[in-house]
Amino acid sequence: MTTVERADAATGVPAPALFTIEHVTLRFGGVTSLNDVSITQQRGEILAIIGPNGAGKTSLFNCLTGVYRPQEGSIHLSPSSGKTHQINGLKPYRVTRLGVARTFQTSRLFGAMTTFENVRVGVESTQRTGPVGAMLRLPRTLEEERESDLRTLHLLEFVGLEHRSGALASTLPYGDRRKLEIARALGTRPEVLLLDEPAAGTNPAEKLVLAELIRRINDELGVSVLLIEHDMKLVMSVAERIVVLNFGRVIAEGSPASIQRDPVVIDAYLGTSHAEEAAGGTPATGAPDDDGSTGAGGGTA
Amino acid sequence: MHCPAYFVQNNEWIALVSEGLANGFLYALIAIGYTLVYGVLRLINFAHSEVFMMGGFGAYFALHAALGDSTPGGFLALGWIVVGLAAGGLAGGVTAYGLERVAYRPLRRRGAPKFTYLIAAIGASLFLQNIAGKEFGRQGVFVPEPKLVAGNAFYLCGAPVQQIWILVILVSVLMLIFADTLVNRTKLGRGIRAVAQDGEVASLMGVNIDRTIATTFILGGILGGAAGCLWGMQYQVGYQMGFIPGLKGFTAAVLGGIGNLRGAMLGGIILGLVEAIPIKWISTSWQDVVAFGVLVTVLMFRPTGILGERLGRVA
Amino acid sequence: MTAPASLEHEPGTARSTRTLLVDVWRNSYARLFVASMLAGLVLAVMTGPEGSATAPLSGITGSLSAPRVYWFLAVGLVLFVVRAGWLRFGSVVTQWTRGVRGRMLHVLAATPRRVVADLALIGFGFVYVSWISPHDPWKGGLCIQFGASLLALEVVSLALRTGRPRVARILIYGFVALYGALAWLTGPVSRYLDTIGVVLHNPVLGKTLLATAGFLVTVELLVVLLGSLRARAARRRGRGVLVGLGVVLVAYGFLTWTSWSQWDAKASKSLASFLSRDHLLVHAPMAGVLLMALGAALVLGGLGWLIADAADPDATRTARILHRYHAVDRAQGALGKPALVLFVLLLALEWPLHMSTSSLSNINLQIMPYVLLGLGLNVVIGWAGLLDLGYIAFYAIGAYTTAYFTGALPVHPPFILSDFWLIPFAIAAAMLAGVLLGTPTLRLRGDYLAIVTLGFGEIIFIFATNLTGITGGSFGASGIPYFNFHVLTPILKAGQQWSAISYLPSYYLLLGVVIVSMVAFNFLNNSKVGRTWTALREDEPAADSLGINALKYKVMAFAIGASTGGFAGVFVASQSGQFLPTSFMVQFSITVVVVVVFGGMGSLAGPVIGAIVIQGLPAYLQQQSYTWYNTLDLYIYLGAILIVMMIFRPQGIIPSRRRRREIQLVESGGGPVDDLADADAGDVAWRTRVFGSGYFLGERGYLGSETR
Repeated sequence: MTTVERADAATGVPAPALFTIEHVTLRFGGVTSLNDVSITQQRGEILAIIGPNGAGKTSLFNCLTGVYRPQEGSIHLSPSSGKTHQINGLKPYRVTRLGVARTFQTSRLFGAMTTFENVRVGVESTQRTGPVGAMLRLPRTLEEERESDLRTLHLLEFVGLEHRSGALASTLPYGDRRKLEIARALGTRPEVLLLDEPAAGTNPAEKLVLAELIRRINDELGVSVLLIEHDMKLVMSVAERIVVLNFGRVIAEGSPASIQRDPVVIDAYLGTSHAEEAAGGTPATGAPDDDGSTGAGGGTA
Repeated sequence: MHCPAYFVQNNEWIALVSEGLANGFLYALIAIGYTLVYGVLRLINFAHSEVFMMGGFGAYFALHAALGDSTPGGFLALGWIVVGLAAGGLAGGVTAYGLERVAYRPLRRRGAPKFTYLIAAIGASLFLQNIAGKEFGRQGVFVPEPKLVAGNAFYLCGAPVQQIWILVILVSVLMLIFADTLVNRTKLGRGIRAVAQDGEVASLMGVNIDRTIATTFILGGILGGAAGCLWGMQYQVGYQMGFIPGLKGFTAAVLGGIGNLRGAMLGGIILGLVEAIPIKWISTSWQDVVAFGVLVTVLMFRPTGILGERLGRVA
Repeated sequence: MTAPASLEHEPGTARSTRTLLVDVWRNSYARLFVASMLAGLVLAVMTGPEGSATAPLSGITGSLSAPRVYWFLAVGLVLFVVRAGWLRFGSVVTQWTRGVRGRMLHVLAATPRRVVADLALIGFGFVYVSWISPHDPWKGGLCIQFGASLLALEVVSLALRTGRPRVARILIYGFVALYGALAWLTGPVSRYLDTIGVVLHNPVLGKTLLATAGFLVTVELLVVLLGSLRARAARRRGRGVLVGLGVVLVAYGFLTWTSWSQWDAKASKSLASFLSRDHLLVHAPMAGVLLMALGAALVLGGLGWLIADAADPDATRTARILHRYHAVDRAQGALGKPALVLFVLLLALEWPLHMSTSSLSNINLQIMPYVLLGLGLNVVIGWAGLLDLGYIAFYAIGAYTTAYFTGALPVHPPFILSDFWLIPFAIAAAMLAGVLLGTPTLRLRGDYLAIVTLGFGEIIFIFATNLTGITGGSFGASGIPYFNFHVLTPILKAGQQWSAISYLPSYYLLLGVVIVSMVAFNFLNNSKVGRTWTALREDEPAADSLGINALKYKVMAFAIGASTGGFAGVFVASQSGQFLPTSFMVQFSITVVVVVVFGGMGSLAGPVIGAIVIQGLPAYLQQQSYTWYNTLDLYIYLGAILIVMMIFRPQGIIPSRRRRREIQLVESGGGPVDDLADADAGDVAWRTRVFGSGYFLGERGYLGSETR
């Protein structure tokens, strides 16, 4: 496995990789969903994971966010605090608190809440207000409320949804939902944002906006992005590095240009006999790759 | 009959186990009602305990009207037991159908959120229980016992084994086999299982969902009602009789894996035994606490139950 | 797995007579008619005589005997006509009221209910003053006064909401001028009107108008003032102070004012007259009115701050967007609502002074504890979305803690506490029990949780009954010292001896606790915690992905909910001096659930209304000893209420906005939003699709065809 160490520009000291995924294997009953996957993501990087349906992309996401616990291997996160945390074995909310935010393949907004409230829930999850403070309206609570008001608004402006702040999330069009989900995830002050097929179901114009948004998240907010996507155009335009999964294995890794030329990748996507040789594992066509929601009960598989 | 000395000395074990077994089979009968409905609707039918209660009253009134205070013996008694079971089953089935029709169907039509079902079920339970109390009297009554089931069948190592226990176990086994066969081997059962697996596909394939759900309720109601009759012969019939056995029936269903028919049977029997055995050491009033402890423990550590969930998967 | 293809098939395309009949049956009013008639008959049986085990049919035949049954068939007919009328014309009505011609009409549609309520209040006041109780005009006068004030506020806030600050401002000034003029005119004039007018036959009307005028003048002046001061004032800090000051002023002004308005025969009953007798207050009518109005205005001004913003929106974009969001969130009647709250508050303060002892004891022992229980359970059910069917256990814990610390149990405490000082202990015990019960069980799925809590309630009952050495067994506890709450007693005793005296201090204590918990819970619901609960209720995995510790928040809801239950336990135990374990049977848990569900899950006013209706009505009926009402039948009615509510109005009488939205969202098939079905999201979806798309009489208000 080649890890591309990126030196910190200012100090010259190599920064520890943000995500270090080592030899992760995930099985559901007899189905191997991820087979000895090792990936490294550098801080500040936009990394895309692509692969055909059932390749194990969403399973990998669910492992990274603590929804699934892989049977083998380890996942480490090194947020800017300097400590390194092992993620496999942590509960999803703990992983989020370490700085990993995610969106879902089929967007899971709080439909009966307004756009503003949706983001605010994300923003407030990092605040310390407890029930006592809330009931008594203590000064600190009020200060935090004000802060979350403003930060929510800031985030809505960042994704371009401030004009819909009062609308119910369930009434938003598809593209706006995607943006809202991203804003909500950004509210948790993540170091890395995991986007699960953000472009699914959006039209070409919305895709352009989305690509721009992803770049801005990376540039302006300094948040690393880990992206799962089918849409090659989007991936090629935003990703700095691409990892290709097939049948639960990493079959290729590299820059967008090199991936586009890679015969193994082309085979995997065209589905020729090459693919099976390359993957060598059991086809992982099980349920777990459907979407994030299946993860609800699968915490300790 | 030869008996090991240990059993002769501690023969209350035998009584406890056989009574526990008999109760366990009753719980199994009730549990099937919960499990079937859960299988097709993903809904805990809180009011099932009142279906059981109505079965008890059905049997009581049928036998009371027919027999008065007389207690027939011999083969005639067997006939009367069948009459009582039929009346109980009928009352249970009718109640369960009415429940589905009045309390659940309007909600289903609207695609209402799940908590509305639960609350409607609680309401139905409250309503049925108290209307029974109002119309049928608030004192507990005994189902007239045909002589066949009064008294002890035989002594096992000096421990009395009551005839009613044997009757309960026999009848329950027959009904469980009937239910199992019905669900697993008939066209009707296929419909139920199809709806349990995926109602949308089933409806596309021409299964009448409404009718299937109603049938499921009725089937559960018949078994629950028959259980009510047996319970009434053993204990008492009263408007509040449903609550505790209902809770235990549910526990049994969860224990075996809710939505799983054979699991419910297994769960009932295990629960009956588990709650009966500690009685050697503690008073009977704590029996319910034991059963409830089992429920919580199962839910905490193995919420899918012993045999796992899903009605469709049993086949 | 079976191949579903071999399952039942629909009959061929040719429609047989039978299917035709079935179609007619399904799509006609016949079904509705039969259902209504059956409902009438069920009602007849519910209210009829009792049967017995020996003569099972005697109750039913008695209920359905000749003259009686016709009444109930008539009721069924009425039900049919109402429902059918609604199905036929309901869409027209809603279409009309929702009329979408312009924004004005749209907003108007949201208003009428409250406007109608205001008008009704005024009308009721007139009727009350003129006919029902001409000698005790206080209540009627209050009704008129507040109805008028609310109406005025409604008009102003309507203008604000439709985005017409200028209109609003003109209206405000207009009202100020109008009521100012009225204040000057009617005050003195009304003294002479009582000999002239028919409607104005009562001197109280003049005073009422005067008071209204004073009230409104100040309110509106203050609102305008705040509106212009807003930009400079510190935004949120000042609000709490303002509200607090306002409440104090209202209270003081109220007392001053009532001491003036009560100079007729019954005046001696008034709290204020006692206060004044002790020279705490002077008879200062105008001062009282003005003080109260000032206080009310401060409260309103504080709470209605954001509406004041609307009159002159901030120049900066941020504030405008924030404002737009808040305006949606706190949408309707930001002025009307606080005023209504104030009215209810004043009513709650004054009315008990005019009550009989038995009514007051009913309120203290039947209604108020259930308001508290309902408020607590509302946190659990309405906000956290957890169906707790064993809630009464916390009440039991409160009661037993009281008995324990006052030495009324077989086991004795290390130290005896007076019943006032044990309140924190009891609340802490209840909250601890909430945490202990919640931590293991709240990981469970919603429907399992319901069963487990049901079992827990039963277990508590078994423990209470069987642990004779500790709990006193089935005899319960007795000899708990009577609740001595001394704050108001000396003042109250200074006056005459009325029998209600012993209940009043406790009533005011309870009222205080209710108000404090309502305010605190309201803050809670509108804070991070409340929003987090909503998020968890809607989509737990999504909330999880935002770093929310679901278990922590659920346990928190359990503990907070338990606190008011524990307090209610303390109160009832010491108020009645004894209790039996049968007071903690499962059915009482269900009663609290009915209170919450009936009132409206998630709304704060819901449990209050729920407790008044669900607990107060039976108590009233029992007091009146009607022949058709049997106390034992209460649970029949409660059960029926639950079913009917779930079918026709699952959101309750006074729904919370969030809850209503959620229910609508689920029913429109808008996703797996379901607090009780986190595990089966996809599963619920198909069920919604299959059943939601089916035919249901009256869903869309017409009876034509099956909408597929």
